[in-house]
Amino acid sequence: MYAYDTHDQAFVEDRAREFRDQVERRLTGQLSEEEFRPLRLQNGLYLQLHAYMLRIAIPYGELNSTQLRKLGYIADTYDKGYGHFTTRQNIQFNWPKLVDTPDILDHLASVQMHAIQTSGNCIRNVTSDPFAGVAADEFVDPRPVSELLRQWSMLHPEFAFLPRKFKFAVTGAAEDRAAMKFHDIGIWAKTDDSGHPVFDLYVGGGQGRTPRVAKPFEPAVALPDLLPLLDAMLRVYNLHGRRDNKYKARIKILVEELGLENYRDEVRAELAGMDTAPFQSAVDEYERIHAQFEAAQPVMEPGESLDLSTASASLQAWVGQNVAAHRVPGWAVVQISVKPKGGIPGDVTGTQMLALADLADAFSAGELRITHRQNVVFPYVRAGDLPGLFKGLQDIGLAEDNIGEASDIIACPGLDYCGLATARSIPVAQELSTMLRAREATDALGPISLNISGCINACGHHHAANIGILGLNKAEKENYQITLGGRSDENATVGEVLGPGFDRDQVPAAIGRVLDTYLSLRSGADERFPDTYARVGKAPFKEAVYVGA
Amino acid sequence: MWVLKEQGAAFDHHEGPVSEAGLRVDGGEPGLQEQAFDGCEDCLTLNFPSAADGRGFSYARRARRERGEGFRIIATGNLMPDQARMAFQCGFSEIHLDDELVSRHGKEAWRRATDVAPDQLYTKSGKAPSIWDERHRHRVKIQSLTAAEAFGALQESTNAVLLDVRTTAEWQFVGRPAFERSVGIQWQTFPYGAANLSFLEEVSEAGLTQETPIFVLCRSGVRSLAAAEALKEAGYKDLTNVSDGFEGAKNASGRRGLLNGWKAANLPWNQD
Repeated sequence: MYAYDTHDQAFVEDRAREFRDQVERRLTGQLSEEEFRPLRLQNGLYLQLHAYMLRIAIPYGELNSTQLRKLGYIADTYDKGYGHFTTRQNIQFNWPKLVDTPDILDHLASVQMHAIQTSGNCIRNVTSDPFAGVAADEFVDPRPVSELLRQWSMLHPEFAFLPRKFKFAVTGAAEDRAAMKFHDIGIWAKTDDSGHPVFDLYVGGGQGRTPRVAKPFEPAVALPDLLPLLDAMLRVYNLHGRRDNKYKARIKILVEELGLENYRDEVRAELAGMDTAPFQSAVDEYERIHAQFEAAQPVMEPGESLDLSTASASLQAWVGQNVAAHRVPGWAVVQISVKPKGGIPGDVTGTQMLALADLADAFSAGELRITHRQNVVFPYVRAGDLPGLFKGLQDIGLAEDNIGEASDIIACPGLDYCGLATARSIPVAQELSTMLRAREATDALGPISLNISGCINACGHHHAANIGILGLNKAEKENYQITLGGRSDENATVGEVLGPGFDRDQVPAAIGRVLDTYLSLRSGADERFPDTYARVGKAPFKEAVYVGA
Repeated sequence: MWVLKEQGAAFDHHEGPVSEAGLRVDGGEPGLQEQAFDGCEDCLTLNFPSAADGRGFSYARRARRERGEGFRIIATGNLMPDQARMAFQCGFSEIHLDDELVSRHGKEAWRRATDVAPDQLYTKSGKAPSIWDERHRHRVKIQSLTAAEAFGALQESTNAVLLDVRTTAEWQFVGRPAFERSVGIQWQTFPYGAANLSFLEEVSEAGLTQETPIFVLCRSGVRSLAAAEALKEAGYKDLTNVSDGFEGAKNASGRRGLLNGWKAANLPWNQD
């Protein structure tokens, strides 16, 4: 993975020092809370319902064992012994004290990490394919350009106070595992005829109260043109994006109100007069980063696949469900589910983090990834090591064999932590997880995505799920609305609202009826939920859920 | 009024309220409102309605590009000391501050505003050299030679060193070049291929200086190129990558050591 040089190191240390100064000025009252707010947010510090929450950047989800040990240390020292993996491949801690946060940032800097721009109206942590570099269907490793974007966006002086937050996702494979089309700008890396990387750009995707699938903006942008174009896209947004209403401030609204063509014309006019000198070293830098990733990739000699014929049923089930195709024969991409039956999606304890770090050292060349579905990936596992890794995961309660199944739920923190939430997400996820694990043991439901958000801001990606659940507050009572048919892959679709919402205790039964309907209507075991839904439409689901109840 | 200038980071008090000069631009809704202001022809005043409204930064970037150096671009309104760096990097030349604002943030906070913030960014912004430009300023070109060409050049030189960056297992089981001035330092370590974090340290301990001509060799020229890049970044100036390495590329039947590389070129080698 990418390793800091002295410049990168000095940068995060300077930034941690700057934040220490800002916290001191807030504590003495020199900075008002209104002024301090954007400054702390740009260092990942939120004020939640009960306490501060610190969100730490895991650029494009990639982490090494030393860094994970440090996160475990932070969980045990400054928090209540756990952390929470997020849909931006980050980790957040729910209980740090304000006065401790500068120390935490120093700890992070010591292992080449930071919390820069994990919040606030600025360019957020760039997300990417958790299988980057090892996926069997990859055109271009998306990590070098993601790292280039990380560096370009760090403390970008022009874009620290945008109308609203700004999210990039980068993918470089046939299958989009990064929900690229649900981002402000999505980048799909491919190669041109001579093998050079080129980038298809999409703009104006997003979730929240106006979910939109991103529109194609420009195909096959060459590397030297990429950063000037992104600078121009952001500049037009910064100048013209709405600031009068925060719900209309994302770039998706600007693109819609201006029209894609007009937005594109404005960007091209901006680009025409742009000084591109600052970007002249970007191609050299890309090559440097690229060479670093290539050099750091473990040497993987092709080997034999694992013979499972005599393995235990539990090992067979886990390998069948959680292991994805690796580009090198005899190697495995292992997805570790952080969705135990009845558990809290994405929560890991400090002890589990330390144990996972040891397992990564033993079985994955010391590297791991966090996925936007709040799970963990070990990218470099020898097929022969799968039984040993499975045993190690069983010992720490992370061997659930449900990757990609309905019980592999994405959930936001909801009203248990979040000041914006209108309903709880976590208990709903826990109840559903228990119900769904029981069903998955008997019914072959196949891959289904089920996501839960505790408010209309959609941090739990409910719009992008095959089955989405949105928690609302109706007359001071939690009420849960169901959406169906969404998907976040390369055929991204926004889910449709099924009908009136449900009380919390009715949700598991309603979801059960949705699943019954899918099982009875699908054309075969290989027809996926969103395909069945697209074919049969909303009516039979609505009837089963509301009339059949 | 207090005036903070980029030039020399001067911070001085002037009598009277904040003055505006040139074209005045206000952050209203829906768009920025421009109105001609009397007086100054070669200046522009941009008023920040709140610290959270960052339109002024983009406006200043554009104005600086269109009007060139020497043009005065002044920021007024509600800025924080923490935004002074951004303002100067985006092309503002001065920040004019209300006395009350300065006393609330503290004069000290404004005076050292640009010292505390990291001033060196990755992409060039403002006057400080960028990290990318510094990284790539001394663009040392890494030469590429085949094993046979490299061996010729090594023999002609009196001090060039052959740096073999393969793993201990490869040295032991595949063999090593027989050349007097050879050094073996792993770039990745056996058996998992983890990066050797002390690579640069070991190179320097082996007595190689930034002036030493270094020929870097691995199995087939990939790891050696990465190692050469790392050496380049660390300041080594005379670098050659042995493009086909010790074993070379695979032939049609998937075997190495026959098509090209040190072994296939019949250059001297031995085994431990």
